[in-house]
Amino acid sequence: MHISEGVLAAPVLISGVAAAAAGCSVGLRKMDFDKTPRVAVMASTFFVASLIHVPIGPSSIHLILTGLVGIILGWASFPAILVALLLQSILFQFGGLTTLGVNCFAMAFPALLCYLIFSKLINGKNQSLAVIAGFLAGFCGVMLAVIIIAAALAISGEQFITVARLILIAHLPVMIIEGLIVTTIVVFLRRAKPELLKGVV
Amino acid sequence: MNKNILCGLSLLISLSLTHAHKINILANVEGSIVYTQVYLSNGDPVKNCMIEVHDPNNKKLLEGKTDQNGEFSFTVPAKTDLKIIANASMGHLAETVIKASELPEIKTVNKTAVKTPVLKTPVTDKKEIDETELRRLLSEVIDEKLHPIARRLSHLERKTISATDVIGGIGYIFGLMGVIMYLRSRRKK
Repeated sequence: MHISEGVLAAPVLISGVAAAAAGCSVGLRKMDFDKTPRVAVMASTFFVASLIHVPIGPSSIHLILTGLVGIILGWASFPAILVALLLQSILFQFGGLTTLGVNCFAMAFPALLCYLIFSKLINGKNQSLAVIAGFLAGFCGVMLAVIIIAAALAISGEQFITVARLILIAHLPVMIIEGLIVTTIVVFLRRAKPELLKGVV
Repeated sequence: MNKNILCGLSLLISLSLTHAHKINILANVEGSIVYTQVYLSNGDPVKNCMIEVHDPNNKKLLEGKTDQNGEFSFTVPAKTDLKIIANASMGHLAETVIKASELPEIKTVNKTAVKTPVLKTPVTDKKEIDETELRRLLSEVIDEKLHPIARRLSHLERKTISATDVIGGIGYIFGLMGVIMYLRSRRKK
């Protein structure tokens, strides 16, 4: 899910940086700094998630957890994901410094969308609706990220439909697994600590 | 029909790539041959990966694909800095540069001559083997002997993720959190 350096065209890189910067500044303005530890915990979760490989079939896939970060952090997903991606690119050479903006936007924007769309249902009274919304948040978090990445590659020259379909098929198991993870966490947090699901605002 | 099957196969091959974050490329020169290997961050080889070799003016000198072991080798095309680019599509790209100084002088030895085994050269009188011929044979044998060792070394050179990096990263995040909270607590006073 990390685009390497030297693949994308300059306009895509620049608009990625602009979008990520805008998201981060709004995120930092909306963030309640008394809840910084929560943001740090989610940033570390995201940082480590891409190292967790789930063996499926001949190959293995890794978690992304955009949906989970989104529903717990809301707007603060932007700064959290930026920090995590920066460290991933420095320490593991995943992605790269020039593609940081694009990668950050590709993963933080879906997180934010999941928060905006599903947060009400997840915090609602109806348990079964909350479960469905939780699954969809995990599922769509990955799906939207894939679509944004495919679009970024398409503008820089690769065929959008083929690439998008390829990456979508490859990530289908991740989407389902993350849907289940988010569902479990939502069900647990609704009972144990419902205020964690309200976003960091 | 055949085309469809080929398409399907190439889809399957490239599918395995999308699961990786990063591909790495390593290249080392042995004699007049450059060995490159492309691998994922967990050390698995990248099969059927496009490799392009460029000179400093970005002119493409040659191209090829990695084999089942993620390896690709080629004879040195020219004595310039060689930029080797591995492109596994879908946002995965890696490159490495071999400096001209690491490359041997290009000799126009014809291939059949190189293949001739040592024994078949007429060794009637030891003084008759001229020096250049001897050098060439020696360097050939040494290259052959050193090849497995060079392999081992390049395997050791591979960058994979270590636990220290992971724990270090988490440490950075919490350090940053500490800084933010410290600044906030000062402002509150």
